[in-house]
Amino acid sequence: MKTSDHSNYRIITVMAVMSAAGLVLIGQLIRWQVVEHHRFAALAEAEHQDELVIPPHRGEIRDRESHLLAADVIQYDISASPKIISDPYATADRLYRLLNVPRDELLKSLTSDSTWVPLAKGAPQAVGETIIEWDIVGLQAEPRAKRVYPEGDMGAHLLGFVNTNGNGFYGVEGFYDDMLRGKAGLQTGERSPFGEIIPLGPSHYVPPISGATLYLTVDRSVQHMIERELQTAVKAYGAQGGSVVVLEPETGAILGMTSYPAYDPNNYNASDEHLFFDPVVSQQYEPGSVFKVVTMAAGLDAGVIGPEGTIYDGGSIEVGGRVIFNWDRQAHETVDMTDVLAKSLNVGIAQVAVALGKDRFYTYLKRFGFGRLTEADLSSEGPGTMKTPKDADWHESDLGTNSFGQGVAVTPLQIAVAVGAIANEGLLMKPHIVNRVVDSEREVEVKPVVVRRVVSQETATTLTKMLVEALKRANSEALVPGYEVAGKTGTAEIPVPGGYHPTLTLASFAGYLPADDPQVLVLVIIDRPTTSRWGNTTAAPTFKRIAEQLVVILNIPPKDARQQLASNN
Amino acid sequence: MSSNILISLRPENVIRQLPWRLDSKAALGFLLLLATFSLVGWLYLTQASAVTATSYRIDALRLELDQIKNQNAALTLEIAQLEALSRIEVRARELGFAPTTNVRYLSVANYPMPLEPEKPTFSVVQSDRALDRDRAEFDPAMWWTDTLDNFAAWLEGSK
Repeated sequence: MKTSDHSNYRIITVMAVMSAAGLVLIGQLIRWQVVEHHRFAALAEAEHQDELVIPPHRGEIRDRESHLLAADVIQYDISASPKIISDPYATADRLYRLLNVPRDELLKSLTSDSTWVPLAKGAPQAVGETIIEWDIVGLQAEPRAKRVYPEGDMGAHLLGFVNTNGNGFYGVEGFYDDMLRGKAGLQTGERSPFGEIIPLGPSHYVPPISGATLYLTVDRSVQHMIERELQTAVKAYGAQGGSVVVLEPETGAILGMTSYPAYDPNNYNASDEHLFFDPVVSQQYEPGSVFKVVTMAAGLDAGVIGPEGTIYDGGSIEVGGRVIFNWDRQAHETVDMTDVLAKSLNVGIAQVAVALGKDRFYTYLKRFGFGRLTEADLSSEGPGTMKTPKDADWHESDLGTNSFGQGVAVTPLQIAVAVGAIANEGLLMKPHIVNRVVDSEREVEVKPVVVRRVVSQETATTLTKMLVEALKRANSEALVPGYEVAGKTGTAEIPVPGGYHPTLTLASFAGYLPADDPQVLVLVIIDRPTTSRWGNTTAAPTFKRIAEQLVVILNIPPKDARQQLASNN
Repeated sequence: MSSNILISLRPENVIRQLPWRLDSKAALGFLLLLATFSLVGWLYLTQASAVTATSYRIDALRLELDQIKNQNAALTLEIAQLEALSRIEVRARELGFAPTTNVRYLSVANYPMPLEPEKPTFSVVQSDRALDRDRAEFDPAMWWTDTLDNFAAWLEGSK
């Protein structure tokens, strides 16, 4: 009896344990199949489904005549997994000629113990496609887009560059990066054991959208010519560098823009980083006497002076406790306003600023856009530096020194745009470098934008005549035979701690032609010339050489030819 | 006794004695059903095979299209590199050409040409620019700056 009870007890115990184990299993099954059904289903789905991101083609950049300035080309990175290559000797025999690599070197890589070895980087498209066609297990050809600039270093600053991750930096590449990069496509579907998407079964394909093509306002002939002339000038005058800006005053379109030294965007890694910034929009400098154009425009527009009006130049003037002298330290006695420009008299222009008063003077400077961004469509633009009476560090003497471009810092583009406003009958235009945007859906033409009227049309016309006359009176080196040129030279001292450098200068010339119908404006800046420190003997002749070629490239006939043409018609 | 246990092994007898033996109508129905399923199956497999083949073909064509586009881009780039101005300038100088320095304009009577040189960007824009010019007369941002400046000047004057 006792044995039977004991036996029953064991049977019940085993049954209870098995029932408990069964309950645990049932519980787990309910958890997996019911409670966490969606999670496990999603995990299983993810195991079989695959997503392939298809990179888009980056948009091209072309000049105003549709010449290609930047485009993508497909290159291949060739690599191998030595452990799964069945016949490394035969593979090396086939590869070494194609990759132009010594056979022994290649064989060493293919027989190494590494799981992965790079064989070639940036191989041409044909090489990559040949390797894909061979279909050798363990040999990979990975496509990669590379940005190429077919004109080499031409327009490097205005174009910018694209890094290996496909991100645009500086210039147009930086400013329009979102527009140029396009939108990636996506392919989803069931994955085979080899990791490839199976065409049969539920799949989804969203094609990539290529980036927009940008047509610039830049003319590559103009760009090439100004780069050549700037390099020649920098070498001829023993300068450290320089910049040239060519604008269409009526629209604000940038026809060309360069700075030297530059870099090759195809090989940007080999250049110093500081060269990437475009000095025309990023670097500020004291403009010197070119700024007298702005002060004179303000004086004329406010009516404090007239073109025929005269002032007495005693050789110096005290403004806010600071004595201002002429560049030649001479007194020129009674002179008219055109002489103030022709002889570039600091004393004369300071009198104009004093007559204007600080409030009106700085209001005009703001109207001309100084101290703020021009909002040009270029990356890394700087606003310059302009103190106003509201600033704690502004001093009464600044009114006098600012009138001739000292103590105020501007970007070359700001100066070009401001002088361009005089050429454009007093209307300040927003500078722009993109003329047309074409993408898969639409084509958008960029229209010129008037920022504001800075001076009246009469003031602008009067000042243009004065600038033409001033260059003639000064027998300027900037004069172009057959054309009336309006412009102004500048020789700015370079600020150093505690004052200004005793010898080094920044020579410049801003001018436009033909004066009666300005079609092109050119700003030339020569940085620290050593053969001569003056703008009239360095920047002005460079302007002349550039202008002489510009009228040919842009088909601008001389004055007599235009008059003859008008009379014939 | 022996005749009772004797089983005929002739095929017709065996078939006749099978327990699942169907009558001829049922057999025909079964065959028709089988044929229908086979047909549907065959159609499905044919379609699936065609879809797979087409999908592979689409993939291959897409790849080929991409390759052709890439080749086209490479050729365009090569043309652009060959047309680069720095290269053309060197070639032109080698051929004895030089930059134009002396241009003379000749007036030819009755030569068919427009009164003014055409400016494509202007033709559309000029009408808008006329509006912009009017708008530019009043600039709210500039007006506000001027007002603030004047107010500051007035405050300074009142001190």
